Amino acid sequence: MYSKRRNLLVYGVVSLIFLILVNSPVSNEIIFKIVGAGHVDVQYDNNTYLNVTVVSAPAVINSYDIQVASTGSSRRNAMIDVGTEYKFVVNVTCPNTWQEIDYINITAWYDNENDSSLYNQTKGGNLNMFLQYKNTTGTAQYNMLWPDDEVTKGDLIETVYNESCHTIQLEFTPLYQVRSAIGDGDGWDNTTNATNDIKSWNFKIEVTTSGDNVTWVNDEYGVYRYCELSSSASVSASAQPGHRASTSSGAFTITYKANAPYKLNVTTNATLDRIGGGDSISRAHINVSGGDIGAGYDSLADGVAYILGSSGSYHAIETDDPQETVTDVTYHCDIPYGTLSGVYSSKLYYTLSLDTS
Amino acid sequence: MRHLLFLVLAFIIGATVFYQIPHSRADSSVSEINIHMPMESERYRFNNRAWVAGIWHYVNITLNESSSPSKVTLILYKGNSIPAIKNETTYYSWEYDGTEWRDDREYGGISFIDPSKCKIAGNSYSFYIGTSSFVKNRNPDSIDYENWTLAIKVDNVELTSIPVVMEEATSSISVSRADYTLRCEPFTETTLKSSQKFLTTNTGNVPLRIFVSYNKLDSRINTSNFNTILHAGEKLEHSIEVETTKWQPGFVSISGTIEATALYVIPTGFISFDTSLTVANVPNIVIAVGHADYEIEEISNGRITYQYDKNIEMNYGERKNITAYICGDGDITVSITNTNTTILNVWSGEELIENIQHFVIHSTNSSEHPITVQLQANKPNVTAYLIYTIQMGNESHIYTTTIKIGPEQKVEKKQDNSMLYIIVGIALAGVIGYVAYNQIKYRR
Repeated sequence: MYSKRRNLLVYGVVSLIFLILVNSPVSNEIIFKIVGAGHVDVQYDNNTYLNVTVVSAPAVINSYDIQVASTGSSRRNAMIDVGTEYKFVVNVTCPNTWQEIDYINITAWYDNENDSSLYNQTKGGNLNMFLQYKNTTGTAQYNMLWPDDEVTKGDLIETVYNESCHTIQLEFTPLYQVRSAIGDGDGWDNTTNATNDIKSWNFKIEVTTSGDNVTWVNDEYGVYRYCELSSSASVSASAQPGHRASTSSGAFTITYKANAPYKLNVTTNATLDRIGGGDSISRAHINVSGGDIGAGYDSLADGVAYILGSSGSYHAIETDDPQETVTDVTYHCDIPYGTLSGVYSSKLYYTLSLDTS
Repeated sequence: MRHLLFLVLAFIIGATVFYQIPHSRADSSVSEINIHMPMESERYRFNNRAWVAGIWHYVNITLNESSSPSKVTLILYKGNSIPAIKNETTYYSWEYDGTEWRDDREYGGISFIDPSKCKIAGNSYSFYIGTSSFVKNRNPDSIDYENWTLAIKVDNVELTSIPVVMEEATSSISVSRADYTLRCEPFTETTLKSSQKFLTTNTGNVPLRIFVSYNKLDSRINTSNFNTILHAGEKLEHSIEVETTKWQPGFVSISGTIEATALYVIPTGFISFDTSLTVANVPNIVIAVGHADYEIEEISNGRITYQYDKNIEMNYGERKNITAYICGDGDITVSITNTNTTILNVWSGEELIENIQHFVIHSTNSSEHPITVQLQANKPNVTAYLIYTIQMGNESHIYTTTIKIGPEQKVEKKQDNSMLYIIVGIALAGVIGYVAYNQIKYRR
């Protein structure tokens, strides 16, 4: 009697323990490992051949940036300065082998206040740039396809991590009339892979493999405004009273660099005062020619003459060249009769104004 | 014949030695020559001393001997030999005769020496002299020059001569990095300091005195390193500090003007201009007065400002208050609509709004009026929009806040089997105990 009850109890306990073990996640894992679930029996068929096609997979752009060349400080969604060297830094993996990378093309362009604008949509060396890493010949090359003399090409620095992953750095220096782009005035949107701030330079990085797979990202940066104005430190002319004293054409050069719309005007003090005193000549007797004035005259009677641009409008930005010169500006003074001899001196104020809009 | 050859050779050697005597003597008699503009360092070009034509210079001569010469003369001439035609483009001469400093030539009534600034200190003679600006620009890419010679005579005997590069006087300034966007909270007095510094560079060869002024708030803007001399070739960094007042929201745009005046210019000719360069609209400072990370919109020609959060993120299921601000004088009608979220409440100031499609705010320019929308994100993984329509008279503007709502958080509920294990454990212990008890008690 006792024996039967005991055996029944033992069976019951053993069954309970078994059920617990079977329902436990740990036991499941152990049991399936032991059993080798998922194993399929192999059938042999000697008439079948295995053909493997290695597909050229698209490259992966792991990271990208635009940095100050000397410090590595990121300038993506930030401002860069003309006359300073920067570099695009791109880390790319080509799944099969780096040899499948044909080109890494970097185009950059001023967006002309339109985030949907495209490279070279508005032509000009100060508005577009095209840098290329070329890997089609077995030896990597760095080419600056555009522009020619508005940007200075630097070095290519390539870091090899393994057979399929490299980082390339393409250095460049934007020169002094590369279009300024100061952003939309409301701070930079730091979103990655997006062009969402107007008044910026957009850039696109495209990686093309030998299988014609193209992978790309785009983003943006800004450019500070820059201006530079140079002129002879002094100008002089001589004539007798009742005659016109003119500076000789080409006697001096006004050189300027501006990467925004600009205007250049000139004015003087109200009078040219005789050194030592005793007399003066009104600026109403002074005329200016050259520049946008051309062969005509603009009198300083009203206090100002516009050499480039006008009072109501800016001169358009120069789309090409890193520097501009004006060599034909001439000053004429009709010396009134009865003027005492001597040297009549005044300051000549050149004002270069940049558009802030 | 041999004697004749010997005599010729001896004559050549003798003549050579004799010819060298003045130069040897000169080298030993003039211990130092220094040419520089006032307050500037001596400059060199092609390893020779540079002298800017048309600009006053100090030419300092130090003699080795302690004698007191009765006359010291400086002669500056074009090329390396005294030209046959002497004028302002080829030849200058100045002298000190023990009592007077003067031009040694006539230049049509113009003097190229300023006796008041000439002086003697021991064996050093300091001439404050210059030339006309005869070097003309032929190459715009560089500062033009001519090669001249400076000879020094003491008591009419030339002691030495040195080559001098006469440069075209060029006033030149560049300004960069002078675009600023600063930010401050509305109705808050603070001092905004820019971490970024802008640069002025003297890219010419004439010292410039630089000034800066602003079209507004001039007395509240402090710009470092101005009202000073920017030396030839020098680059200066400038920082900006703006003391704000309690501004209402909006944008404050300030334009600066930098003036650079050429120094030490010698006036010549009947009319003479010395150059002052001005660059206008730099620095350009935009101060955004608004809450951090808010978009600031100016309506009705800046009379009304509207601030709102353009992009926000919410978790699925999250409840969040989103506040926008209106400021400026006027009655403004507001309408709020939304997608992919549930609006729970809207407050205009402290007032709970019944009809969010149309309510009126009596705004003033002395404070900000908040509009608070309480949202519930009840759809996972969607982009929601909160759309404000702001109307003032016939003018209407629509602003959108984009809300990214995150995915549903999958919380893995681990099956709690602890109670089962306790029961089984107790049962097991009981069974084992019972079996053991029976084994001991009924062992046969």
